[in-house]
Parts: sequence; C-alpha cells; structure tokens
Amino acid sequence: VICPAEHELARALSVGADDALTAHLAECARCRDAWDGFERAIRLARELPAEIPSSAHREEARTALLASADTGAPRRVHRVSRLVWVAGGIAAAATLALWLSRGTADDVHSHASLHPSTGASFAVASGPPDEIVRLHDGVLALDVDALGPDDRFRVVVGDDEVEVRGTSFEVTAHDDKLVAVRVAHGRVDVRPRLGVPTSVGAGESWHGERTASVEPTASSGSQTASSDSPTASSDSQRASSGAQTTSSGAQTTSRDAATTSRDTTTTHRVTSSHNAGTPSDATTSTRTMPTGTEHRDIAKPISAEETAYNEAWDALRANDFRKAAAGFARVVALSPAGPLADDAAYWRAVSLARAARGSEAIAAFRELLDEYPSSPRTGEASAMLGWLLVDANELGEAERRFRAAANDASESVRASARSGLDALAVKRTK
Amino acid sequence: VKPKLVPLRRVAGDIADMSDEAVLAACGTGDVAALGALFDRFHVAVYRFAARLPTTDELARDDLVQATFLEVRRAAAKFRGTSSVKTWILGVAANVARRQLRSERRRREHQARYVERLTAVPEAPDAEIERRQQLAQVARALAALPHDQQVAFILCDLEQMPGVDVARALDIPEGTLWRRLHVARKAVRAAVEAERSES
Repeated sequence: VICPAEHELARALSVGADDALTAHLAECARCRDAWDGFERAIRLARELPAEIPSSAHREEARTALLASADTGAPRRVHRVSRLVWVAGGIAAAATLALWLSRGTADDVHSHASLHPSTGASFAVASGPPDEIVRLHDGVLALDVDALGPDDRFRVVVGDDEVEVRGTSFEVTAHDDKLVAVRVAHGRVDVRPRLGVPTSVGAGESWHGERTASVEPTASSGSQTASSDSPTASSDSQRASSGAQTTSSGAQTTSRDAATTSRDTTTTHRVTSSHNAGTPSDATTSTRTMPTGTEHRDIAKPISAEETAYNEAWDALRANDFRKAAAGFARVVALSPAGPLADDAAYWRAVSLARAARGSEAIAAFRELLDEYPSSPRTGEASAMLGWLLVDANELGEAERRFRAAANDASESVRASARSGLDALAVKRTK
Repeated sequence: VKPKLVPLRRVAGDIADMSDEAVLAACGTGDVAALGALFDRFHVAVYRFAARLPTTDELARDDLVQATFLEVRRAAAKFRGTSSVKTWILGVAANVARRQLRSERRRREHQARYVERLTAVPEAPDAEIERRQQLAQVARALAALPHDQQVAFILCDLEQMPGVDVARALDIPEGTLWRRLHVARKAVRAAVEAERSES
C-alpha cells in the first residue's frame, strides 16, 4: 500500500478526499488515524478565541484609517481603558451621576449637522470628543450643538483651522485653503496657520487673503476692517500673540501687532505678525461685516468680555471650575445683553455644577432660564437643572424642567429629559 | 452626524451596489469613499484574522488592521482577480503582520500573552478546565509555528478559505501552501494528542 504524500493529504483535508484516497483511508489504519487526528485538531483549533472589538472601537478604527488615508500619515486609534470607564462611572454616580453619565453617553454622537454645498469635498476625520471635519473644497455650513467642557469641534482646511464652541457657521475652502468663515450664531475661533488667530462672532465673517477669489469689499455696503488681536483659545496662541488686557479689562493693547488706523469708512488691511520679529507679509487677514450691517469697528482689540470669556473657558478646560464660574460671571456682568451673555450664563451654571456647588448651580440655571428665555441653550439647561433638582429632592420643579426639555430640538436633550422623568417616577415610588 | 466617511471623490454609481472588485479598483484610484466601503465589508475578517494570529495583541491589532487597509489602498492596482478580494486582503494582512513582527523578542512576548489569556480562567468545571487546557496547548503549538505556517493554518483551516485562493493571495505555489499547512496541522495535532494522553 502506497500512502499519499503529506501535501496530498493536506490538500485532501481541505478540498475533500477523492475516491482513491477514500478507499486508501478505509484500508490504511495509519493514514486513517492521521486523518482523524488532523480533523480533531482543526475542530479544536477553531474554538480558539478570535475576539472582534466592539462596534464603537471599530468605528474609531475606521475613522482613524480614513483620516490616515486623507493625510497619508497613520494615526493611532484612540483607546480608553476599561479602568477609566469604570472610574468615570463611579465618579459620575457619586456626584452629578445621571447628568454626567448622560454626558458620557452623548460622547459617541457628533455635535454637528453638516450641510455641504453641491460639490463640496470634505471628510469627517474624527468623532467626539475631539471632532474634526477636514474640508478640502467648497462651502460647508455647520450647526454645532452646545459642546461640553471636554469637547472640541474643529474644521480643518489645509493647515488652517476653525474652532467652534456651539454655533451655526459656514466655512468656504478652495483647493485646501481656507477662504472664508461666516458665523450665523455663536462664536468661532479662526486660526489660519500663517495669519492671526481671530475670534468671529455672530453676524461677522472672516476672509482669508491668500486666495484671489475672495475679495473683502467696502463697496457693497459692507465694511472691511483689520483684525490684529488674536482671541485663540489655546495658551500657546494667546502667549504668542502678545495681547495684554489691562486691569480694568476694558482696554486691550497689543505689543506685537502693528497699530492700525481706525478708518471705518474705507477698506484697509493690516499686516500683523503673529510673533515678534516674524516677517508679516503672509499673515494678512480681514474680517468683513455682512452686507447691511451698520457701521461697527471690528478692528478694535477684543473686548473685555471676550477676554474674560476665553479665560473662563481655559479654566473650565483645565477643570478649575471655581475660576471658570467666576470668569463666566464676569462676562455676564460686563455685558448682560451682549452676544456672549447667555452662553456665559450657561457655562457659569455648568461650572458651578462641576464644582459640586449644587445649590448655586441650581440658582444659576434658574437665572439663565429667566434672563435668557430665548437662548438656544434653554433645553439643555432645563434638563441639567432637572437633574440637579432631583439630587436636591425638589421633585416638583424637576418634573417641570424635564418636561420643558422634553421637546427640545436636540435628541440628546430629549433623551436626558425622558431619563429624568423615568428617574423621578422611580424616586417617587420609593 | 456619525463619524462616517463623506466621499471626497465619488465613484460612479452607488458603492453599496458595486462588486468587491469594483470597489477595490476605485480604492486604487485614491477614492477614500471606496476605502471606507472596503473597510466596512472586510474589516471584521481582518480583525478576526489578526485576533487569531498569536503574534498580535490588542494594541498591535488596530495597527495591523489600519496598516492592512492602507496597504490595500496602495496595492489595489496589483489585484489581478485570481482570488476573491477578501482572500487577497487577508493575504495583504499576512504580509503586513510579518513585517510588523520582525522583532523576535516582541514576537515571543506576544505569544506569552496570547497563551496567558487562554488559561486565565481559574474557576471552571472540570470539563471546561480540560477543554481550556487543550485549547492552551493548541495555542502554544500555533504560537510556536513560523509565521508562514501560522498564516496557512489560520486562513485554510480556521477561516476555511480555499487553498488555491490562499496560495494565490500569498503569492506562493499551491504545493508550498499544502506543505506548510501539513506541518502546521501536525504540530497542532501533536499538541492535542499530548494533552489528551496527559489527562
């Protein structure tokens, strides 16, 4: 009897034995034994674990892959250890449990809805908590929900970026170059790689100078003025800008930026260097008031409330909640009817809640809802207030607040309100 | 929005309706949307293959998957249709894994962790303990194999892919694949039988 060669037996195990081999196996005990032994081993080996990561993890991997494909550089998939999740869960349960845990759950959802114009090319490079949309060409309008203190949302065009804090705005790019940013609501920070970081508020727009197709005009009823005062949120950018705020907070001076004349009737541009001694020919940028806007000099240095607002945000990001609350309170005090006031009032309340100053946070949320009833943050504030009131055992008002948030435009707010009403029902049965 | 790809350059037609081969071809032209579609279709297979490789741990697995799809994008034009796209991608993954695991020391560390994971359940019924011990033996045997034999065993016997396809995807003669597979099987079988005789 001639036994089959090893590779023939291996092949037959994979593709099936032909008649000759079947006959041989029936006669040859050694080959039969080998055959059975291989099949047993293979069956057992198929039981070896082959764990597939969670769908959320795989989604992160997908995003990292596409971002890498977009930029050509491999990126690490963001990993959060289970220990961190467990610790986070315990901490949330111990303090503002339900509200904070709701915030964690929201992290998997984007804060933005995107409305690209026809032909716009862009990619979502990363998801929450540090969302990045990479815009290559065309016009992209975005509505960004209120961001949490640890959330970021940026639109990156080439080496330029626009950072958002909860707003509706529109970004225009051409050939990987940032052309313009127009803000409908809220406020964004524009950080061109070569230009001066600038904070752009509601009703304002920013136009880059490096693209010929964009023209800051004064002829159509709009004004163009210079911006030489960066209001970027990061420390490094603020440090490099050289901006100083006086003790009263009412005046701001700039050491490094070129001084500008304030001719509000003619278009003028100011070349300002980001760092002292830096050649400034490539750093020109202008901000343009929208057509029909009344005369307003936006070339002036950032306002005191803007400075306070940015400082408070920095404190909030650094988890210095008391300082953040004080900073946001100052913003409201400086300009109670200003464009930042309701936002600052909201973040003051959040800061107080994060500082575990429950009763003060409740008062702050009530004040926000009373003083700024048309704020886009009322839904979220109502839900948060509801949770704080649950903790304070003020169940009647908590229910009212949750019901007020139950029809909010944001699904996450509605979900929070529903959870709150469920929690109330459970609490009342005990 | 979910963190989902928005195509930078649209391929003609709906990607969902396109064949694997067409999506791969689109991917080869630099279409990021096609790369996303390929990932959607095959990433589970690549993850499973990576998870079966004793030489990859959890941290290395993401890197392997990402590097595989980037390599797929780069090498898509080389696909000749002699195997299925899935097999071809797994062949790419095998080559990427080989490159990533050149360091023998790193390889041994991964192997040790892989076997540890399998045996780290102290409280289980006797039959379960015995099964786990057998699995651990299989895992050790698999881990001790050269990379090429591991790949042959995983793709042919665990993933149950056609050997002809696997040989083409790995760019080796069919006979070479069968020989590698036979050696791998013998080692795994020996491990199983040694465990049985001990117990």
